[in-house]
Amino acid sequence: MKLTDGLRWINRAVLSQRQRNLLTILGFAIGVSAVTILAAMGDSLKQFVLNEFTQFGSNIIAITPGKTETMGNTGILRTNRGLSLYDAEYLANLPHIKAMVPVVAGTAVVKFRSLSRATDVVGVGHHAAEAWNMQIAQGRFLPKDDLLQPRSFAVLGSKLKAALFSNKNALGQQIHIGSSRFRVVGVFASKGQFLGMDLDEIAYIPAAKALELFNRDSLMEIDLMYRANVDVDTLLTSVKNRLINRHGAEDFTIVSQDQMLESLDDILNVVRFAGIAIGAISLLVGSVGIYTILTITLSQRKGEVGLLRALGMQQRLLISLFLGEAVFMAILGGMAGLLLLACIQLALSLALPQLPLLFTFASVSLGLGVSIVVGLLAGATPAYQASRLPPIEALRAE
Amino acid sequence: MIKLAGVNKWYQSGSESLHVLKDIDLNIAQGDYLSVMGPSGSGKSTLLNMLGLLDVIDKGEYWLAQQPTHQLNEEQRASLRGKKIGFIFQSFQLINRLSAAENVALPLVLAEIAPAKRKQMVEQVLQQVGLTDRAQHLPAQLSGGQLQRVAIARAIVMQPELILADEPTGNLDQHSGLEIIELLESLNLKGLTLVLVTHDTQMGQRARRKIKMIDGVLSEGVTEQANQQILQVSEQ
Amino acid sequence: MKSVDVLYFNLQVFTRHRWRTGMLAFCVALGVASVVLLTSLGESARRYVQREFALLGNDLLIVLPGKKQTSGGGVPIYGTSPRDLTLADAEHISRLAAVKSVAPIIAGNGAVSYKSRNRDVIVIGSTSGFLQARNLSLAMGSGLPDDSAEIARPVAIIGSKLQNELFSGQNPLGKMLTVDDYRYQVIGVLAERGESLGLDMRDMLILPVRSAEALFNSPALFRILIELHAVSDRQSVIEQIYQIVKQRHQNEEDITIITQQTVMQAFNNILVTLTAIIGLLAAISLVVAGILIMNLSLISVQQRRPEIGLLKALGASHKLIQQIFVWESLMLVIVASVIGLLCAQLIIFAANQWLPILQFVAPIWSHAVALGVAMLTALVFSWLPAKQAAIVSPVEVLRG
Repeated sequence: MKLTDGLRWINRAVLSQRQRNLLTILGFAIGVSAVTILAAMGDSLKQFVLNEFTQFGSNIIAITPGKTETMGNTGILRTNRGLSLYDAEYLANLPHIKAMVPVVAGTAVVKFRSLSRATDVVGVGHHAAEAWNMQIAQGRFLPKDDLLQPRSFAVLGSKLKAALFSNKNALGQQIHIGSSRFRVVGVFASKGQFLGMDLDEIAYIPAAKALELFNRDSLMEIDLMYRANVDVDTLLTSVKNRLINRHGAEDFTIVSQDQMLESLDDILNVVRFAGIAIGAISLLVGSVGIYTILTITLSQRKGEVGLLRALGMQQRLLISLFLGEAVFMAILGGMAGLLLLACIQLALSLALPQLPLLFTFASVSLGLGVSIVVGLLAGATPAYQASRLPPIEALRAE
Repeated sequence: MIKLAGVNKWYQSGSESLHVLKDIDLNIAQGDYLSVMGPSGSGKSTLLNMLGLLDVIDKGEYWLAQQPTHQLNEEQRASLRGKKIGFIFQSFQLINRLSAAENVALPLVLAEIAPAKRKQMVEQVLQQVGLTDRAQHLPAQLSGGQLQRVAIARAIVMQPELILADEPTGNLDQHSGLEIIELLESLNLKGLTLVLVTHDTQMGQRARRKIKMIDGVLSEGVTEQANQQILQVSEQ
Repeated sequence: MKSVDVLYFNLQVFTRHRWRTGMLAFCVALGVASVVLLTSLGESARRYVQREFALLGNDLLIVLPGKKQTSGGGVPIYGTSPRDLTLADAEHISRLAAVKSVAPIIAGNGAVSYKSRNRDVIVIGSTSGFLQARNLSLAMGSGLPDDSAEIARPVAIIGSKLQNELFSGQNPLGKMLTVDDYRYQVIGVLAERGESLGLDMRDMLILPVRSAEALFNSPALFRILIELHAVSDRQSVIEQIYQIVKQRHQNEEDITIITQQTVMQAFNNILVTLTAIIGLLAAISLVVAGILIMNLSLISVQQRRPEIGLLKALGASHKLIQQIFVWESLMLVIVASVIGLLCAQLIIFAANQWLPILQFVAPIWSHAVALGVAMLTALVFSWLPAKQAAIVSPVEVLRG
């Protein structure tokens, strides 16, 4: 049989039994959608989390006081062997380091005249805006100053500025943070949220001033931005060794953003896998459905099989035709499933625009690929059994 | 006990309306033995369906056991059908997964009769048709004649007012067919009202009353000559 | 037809089509089992968290230094603020009638060493109330001294893992540890408890709070845990505490008080939502099974048209025919669901044998929901085939 005739035969066969095949296709379509949607959601979740973390730029190494043998943000805890501003200065001057940001954070009351707001206050260095990809909307960021004796400048997040100054100009104004005075030199453009923390509500001051404000000696974190084209691992080792020399012991934790993303990746992969597994249940049921219906249908078409064999059709061709019907239905199911997804995607993006895409190239190929495989598997046995029937029996079986 | 008065039925066939039964009048007394004959398309099957409450008459009256069936709804007709009418079909219409006894018991199950009583009634009718030793057999294991006898047993198990047989010997060979007719006739002699639709004139002639259907019109017991005349007229 | 007869009638249909019935039953059982298993996962996690919280005691207030008035709300997680929360503040709070006990906490990070071994651990400074509030028990030795908030005694309690690492599991009582150049005598070892809501208790060092104050050279408290007597108006006690601290902090209300309940509630809500979601996702498989039910039913009706016509000729009504076909699906689904539920129970049982710490439980409601959804599916998806069966015209099918 010529290919085109074969395809036409398959097409007619599938379209003729409309009600039955429609239902079979529908059942399978839902199964495929379930798997695809969950795989895509897993992908999107990964992407989303990754984006959250990389919004601050890449090529970052973070150093925190205390050696983490177990989990825990040791930056917050008290310590006697912390990271000092001297450490920060030293690290900033190491080779391959482009920029250094010292970090210390806490909550305090920010006051302007009669208005006040208790909010997060973060002490940083003049490279922070650049290192963390934050845009200045008004004025400028903290200037390059003596790390240990900086001037009392502050930069406000957009929401904080609005709360204290509404539409009036904030630049040059004096505010109080805690009991100290600061002069506003800049306002950030809106940046959004990070892990539930609102970045626009934060006031940024020089690290040394923050240490004073919160009665601390030790920084909570030192971020180092390194030049591109540098091997991260060698740099990490080098920085670690130098700091060990300086402190006399390894009383700190040093981690690159890549490492952090890797461990995140591992966790998210588990989530993604779990999602797919759940979807796979629906897919399994859908596949069993296709298999069952195909078997029943073929047993009802014994007469047709007998006739074809009586007309001289080869066994192999017979198998190919019936297998082709199965695959065709499976593909239709897969496409129907993807269409269903597209509609859901459309509805979702209208309702919740910030949700990432369900449709990725990977998920589409997964969906179609799975469909074809299932079609082949589900159709193989019935097709083979149908072809094995001796023509006489097939014709008589009506 | 059975009375058809001015019964009419139309069928829609596409845009055309066919007048299938034309002003039928018919009285059937208990114990009557009727045959209904006529060419295909004459309306005899339709008549049978009407008698069997399987279809609704469009105009006229059909009284069965003092009930005006033309006024009944679907549920009521079904119920009446189950209790008062027994069917015998050309193609037997037994359920292949049920044994002979179970097939016979079906009307009793539908009428919610208790299992013990069912058993008794089934045994009785199987005896009447001579199939007691085949009670547990499946249809696949029975011959054509035996299958029809099971069907007859099923038809009489509820002691109906009327037995309607539609070409009962159509799928049987000569010998078995004769057996079946003789069985039916013996049952009729015991008081069973029998209406037999058939192509076979030999068979039809055996009945005490002979009805002819031609073109939706019913005529009864006319001579052969008049028969020919009516045929000529309808062919014009 | 009597119900018993309908059931028997359908049973005969199943027996006739064993393979078909089996495949369908498999799909339904799989769907039901996965719904139960997945919801039990979520529910078991929720109960685990609840248990953990319950162990911490019920009427606990947690005072954090700092306050946030931002639009998104939020808790000051840094624990750093311009004005320190001090032991004196804690002492004043403890004077309230409704307060049963107060455990001030200093949290830090230190290098512990014994002879040649050392380890970086989390150091907690607190009072005897801490062990009670966190429901910690001792494996040996004694708890913190009663004057932990007054005198900086050089004593320490260590966790079980720390004991292993520094003392190779030997009796450490009486031995001297060094922490950041300060020396402490070991007076107790915590019983093996593992993680307690994020803090690894095994790898911890606990000092009297005054000692910790000296060690880290700062009076700033990390938290204050407050255990209340059973009170009817918790809110007014909270208000009182805010007032006390405000008065002591130059009229600045710079602390945040959260109740253990709210934290637990938040966790609970998250887990309940998660459980519902995965239950829903698993239930999609039941919808797919439902479509298969409809498909097979329609085929069945198609194949049995003469039989349906016969039944009608014998006196079966529309309604009865519908009932027969709906019951066919329902019977199958109920039996398959029960099988699925049993399988799920078996798996849970096996899992609990294999990993007893997990303590999986399949709550009753998940069984009921799974069964209910399955039955609903059967009803919905057999409606159309049953309707189609009911309208079969006996006249059409009985000829020939």
